[in-house]
Amino acid sequence: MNKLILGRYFPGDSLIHQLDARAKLTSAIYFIVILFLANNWQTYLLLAVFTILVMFLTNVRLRIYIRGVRPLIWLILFTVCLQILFTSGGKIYFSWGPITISHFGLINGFYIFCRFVMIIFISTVVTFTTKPMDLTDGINFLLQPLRKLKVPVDEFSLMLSIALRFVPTLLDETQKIMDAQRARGVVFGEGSLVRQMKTLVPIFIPLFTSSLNRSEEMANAMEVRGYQSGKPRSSYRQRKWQLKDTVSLVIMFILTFSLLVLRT
Amino acid sequence: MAMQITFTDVSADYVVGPIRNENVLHSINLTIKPGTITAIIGHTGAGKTSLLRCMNGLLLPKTGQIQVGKYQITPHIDQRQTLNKIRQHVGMVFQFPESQLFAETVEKDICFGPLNFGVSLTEAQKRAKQTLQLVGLNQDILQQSPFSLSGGQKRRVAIAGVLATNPKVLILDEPGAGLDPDGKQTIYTLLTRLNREAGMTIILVTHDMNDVAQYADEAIVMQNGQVVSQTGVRELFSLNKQLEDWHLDLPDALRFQKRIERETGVNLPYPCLTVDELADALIKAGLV
Ligand SMILES: Nc1ncnc2c1ncn2[C@@H]1O[C@H](COP(=O)(O)OP(=O)(O)OP(=O)(O)O)[C@@H](O)[C@H]1O
Ligand SMILES: [Mg+2]
Repeated sequence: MNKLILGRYFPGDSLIHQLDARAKLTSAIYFIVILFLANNWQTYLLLAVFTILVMFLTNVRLRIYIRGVRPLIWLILFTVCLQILFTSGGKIYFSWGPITISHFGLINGFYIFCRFVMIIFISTVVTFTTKPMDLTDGINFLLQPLRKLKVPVDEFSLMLSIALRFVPTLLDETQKIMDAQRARGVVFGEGSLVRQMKTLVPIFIPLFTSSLNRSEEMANAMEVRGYQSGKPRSSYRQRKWQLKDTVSLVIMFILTFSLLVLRT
Repeated sequence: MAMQITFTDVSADYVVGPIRNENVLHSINLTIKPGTITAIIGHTGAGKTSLLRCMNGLLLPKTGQIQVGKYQITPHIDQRQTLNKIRQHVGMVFQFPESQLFAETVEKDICFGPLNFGVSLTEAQKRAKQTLQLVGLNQDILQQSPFSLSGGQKRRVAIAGVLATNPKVLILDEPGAGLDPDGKQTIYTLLTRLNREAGMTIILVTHDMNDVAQYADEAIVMQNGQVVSQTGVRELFSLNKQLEDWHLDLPDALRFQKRIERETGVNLPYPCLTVDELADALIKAGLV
């Protein structure tokens, strides 16, 4: 439970921390898009160096990034295996029916692996270095065009920020309830699957009740203070676009350009 | 068999993902005598809850060992079953225990603990009735949903759910928090009864020095993750200088006694912890 790294914020004052959330979000999404331009080792190397450099700049330890990848490792390996087994071309090392392990397959598998890891690393860079509130602010800003299509963007981002705000509270509460039920003799993670499923009931029901109660209280508190959906809201925090933010976008363009030159 | 709890050089950390909260407890040495009521006091963040969590293996020590009756908790204890045995004997009531209720009926919720510890259903139901009576609730709420009860009732049901496991040691984290004076009184009266009649060892955390003075035999003072004092309650409240250092209040009766002494110039023979004691002492001293 407490091993959840993805989506956590690490307070700090690094260069990356100081960037505006909008700049970080745009750059991260942009990076994931241009990742698909890479198609040979030079381009992958360039992107890897860039990723590592950015990670280094955040001042968050590498170990923590690696722990963030861990929960997804099976998904990654599965995709990599499919890639290896079903790509043919180049020298064939092993072949059985439609399954072949070929030179191309291996290389492709390796690239896919790198791509996955880089996507995870870059997105964790954003979440590690951006306060959840700034993040939702940024998302809200980037989604503004959707308002033209009558999408309730502000409501969505409010929901998102409330949800993010309550993640630690919920984790804390889960921990407490698990402890309380442990003290009443529940042994988690033992016995048959059905048995283990059954031990979830005494956790989820209290968790749901308290969440429902809390959301009701919160809704009341908001209403009492005059919140109305659909009305324009002003923001307490000011977003400030600085020179660094522009520079970060320029760097992204330079990166794209270099990729276009290097790719085959 | 009485269960004695002994901490030997215990230290403990919290590790939450990448964040490590070091030495939340350190070099803890203490013994809790069977059959006593022990109050743990100290400021917020002093490590009281963490100390309680160590006692039934919810928080494992980083170094040192904890002896609970004949069981031992060591840093690398790997047997969930041993921990479960300990938990069977050491009941724990968390702060705001009403948040642990989950079953459709009060009866089912109270039976949950005993059933987990392998008690038969009929026995568990019998215990549910008994403990409900013990905590002073009416039998006819047995078939009601716990969520339909009032806050104070919920808390008592939750305590009943722990008592139903027949623990020898009962640990409570701020059992009176958020209750009205009446509800609080009921709970403390219950605890005293359990202690006097069933010989249950009771360990509780409280911020209210009146409760300590009135109900506890022993007091453990914690500060920054360390035990700074473990004494009898009467002794504790005679440590004027240290109490000030620890920023602990005096019980109302004692504070009032000090004021009387200051204003009349008469010194009473001993520190009075409760109103009754103070009244007696005043009569003896001829002040009333
Ligand atoms: N789940 C947790 N994860 C990380 N650190 C924790 C956790 N629970 C407590 N701590 C830390 O351990 C220290 C002691 O906390 P503890 O809850 O034992 O204090 P306490 O004496 O019970 O305080 P209170 O009177 O407020 O209940 C605190 O510094 C707290 O930050
Ligand atoms: Mg506490």
